[in-house]
Amino acid sequence: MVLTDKTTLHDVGQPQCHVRPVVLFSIIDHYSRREDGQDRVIGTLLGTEADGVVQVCSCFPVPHTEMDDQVAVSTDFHATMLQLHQRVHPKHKVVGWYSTGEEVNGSSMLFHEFYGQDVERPVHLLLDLGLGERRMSCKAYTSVGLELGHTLLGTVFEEIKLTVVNGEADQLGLDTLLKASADAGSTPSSVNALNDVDTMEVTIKKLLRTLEGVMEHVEKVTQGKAEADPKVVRLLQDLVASAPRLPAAAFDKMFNAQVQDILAVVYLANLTRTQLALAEKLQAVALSGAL
Amino acid sequence: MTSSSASSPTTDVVELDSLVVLKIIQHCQEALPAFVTGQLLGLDIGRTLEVTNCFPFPRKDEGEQRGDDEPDDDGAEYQMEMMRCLREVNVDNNTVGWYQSTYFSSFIDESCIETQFNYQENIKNCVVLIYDPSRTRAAGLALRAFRLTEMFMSLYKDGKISFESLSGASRSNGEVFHELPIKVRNSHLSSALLLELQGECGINANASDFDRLELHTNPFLEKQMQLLIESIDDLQVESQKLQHYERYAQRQKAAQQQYLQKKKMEAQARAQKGEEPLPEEDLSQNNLFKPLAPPSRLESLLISNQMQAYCKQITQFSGQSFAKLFLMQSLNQK
Repeated sequence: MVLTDKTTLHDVGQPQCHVRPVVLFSIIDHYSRREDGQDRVIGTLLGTEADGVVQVCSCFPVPHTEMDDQVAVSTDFHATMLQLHQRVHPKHKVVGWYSTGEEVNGSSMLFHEFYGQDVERPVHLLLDLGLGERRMSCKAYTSVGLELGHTLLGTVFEEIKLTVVNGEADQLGLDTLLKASADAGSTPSSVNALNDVDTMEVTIKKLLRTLEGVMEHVEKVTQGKAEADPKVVRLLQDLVASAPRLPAAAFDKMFNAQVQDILAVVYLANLTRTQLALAEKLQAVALSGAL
Repeated sequence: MTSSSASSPTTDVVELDSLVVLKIIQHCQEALPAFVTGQLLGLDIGRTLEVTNCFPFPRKDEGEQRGDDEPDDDGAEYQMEMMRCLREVNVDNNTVGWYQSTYFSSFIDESCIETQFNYQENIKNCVVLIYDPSRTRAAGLALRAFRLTEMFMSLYKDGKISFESLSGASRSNGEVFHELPIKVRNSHLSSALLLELQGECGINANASDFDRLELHTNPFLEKQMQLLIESIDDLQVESQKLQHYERYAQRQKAAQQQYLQKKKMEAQARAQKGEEPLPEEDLSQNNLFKPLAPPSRLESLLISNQMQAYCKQITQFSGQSFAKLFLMQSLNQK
């Protein structure tokens, strides 16, 4: 099972939930800063809702206490924090709440009712951190009244479709983090943020490796050692077709022009730096002469 | 808060939590094209500055509509309230700096300096994180950490950045900012989540890597050159101001000399005639002897620092472009 279970079937009419990765990271951070002896943490989800899709953009933790059957949420804290958040993102509203833990239980109901005061249909995000043997998983629920005739018997948590969405911004951030963690192996890592030229080198090396891999595969196929997969062949054809065919002379001309341009720019930049340094020195000399 | 910083006044490395990286990127990227700021929270341990959380500041332009004095009070109150709330949920609530988004590292200006100065004076190890959305697209994550240099701090504290004080300091290159290396730190849980997400969203570490090989680099260079040219113009204006001041100062000196000469002649004439010498005149009352206010060199210092930064960036960027071009050439030859 992966983080969000894609095998479960969902009603078409149900709302969907899109969650940004930053929300999950916040929850984890909150969990690792929980009070002594606390089993789970809860918090408020903020975001927008449109066309049955709930977008969860950010969240904040809310302190709470759980004693046997009773729960208490710090409502003051919730209200203040909400107000503060809305000053930065006026468009974000409360869309639901999150908690960590394995499953929905009795007290979840109570929290859900609390959030039901603010929102018509709160979403409950349950993040199982997968401590122990299990893997991390993340589920979203919404509540549905269970009716028999016209009497309300109870409320059921119904699982709804949850997707982790990546905006362009998240993509960039996650990429960096991934690379950082990949560079340092699997240990909790501290890595130097990458410098420009080095990243370039890494990229080029990767490109070379990829090309070598492709060549190897093609050779194997042509020698009859491996099956030719029509899909791969089609992709390869696309690749070859996508490379522009330029006459060597034209390419050389373009290449040289570009190189000249950049050289000129570098020259100018260095010239400016020299001028600045020179001006500084001259000022110093002029002053020491004057004094 | 600063007890540990007293013994070790400088930090060597800034360590960012993965949460902070994501939060800053999200905030800055969503606010585009406007530039935003926020506060960094964390701990200052020995020579490492750990940034474990952050929160955004409300945008300034919204505050301005409500009146001139209000936003500042509002901002401070917002900040206090937010920190109080975060403390309640066990977040490190020590201020360790602030962050700002900007284009093409054009962040060296007076307002930024002033803010950073205030931070750094109160809490010694504060840093400013600069996030550059334009460069993030071109060259991976562009987060950089800066501190004001000691020398600049002391100069700025005295309030006067004059010609003389600057020349005394120019031995240390006259640099305003000092860059610190950044590290990214993942806790065990967030590493796990990261790996889960990798499968989940099909994030391929390769995909964005190859975006970096984009050959169409001219717009970037053009923009950078344009910014450079603008700051050269600014510098020109500044140096004209200085020249103007110098010319004026010289003229004043000449006038003063002339006046004194005249006085002397008069006194001599009177002495020859045997009259009483004129009473001593208070020179500071005379219009001619009013000291001229020398122009502040702060602006030109900042501009030249900004230009240095631009030039550095252009060189770096061109280096990359060369690598790409030669890669392209060798590919084409095959």
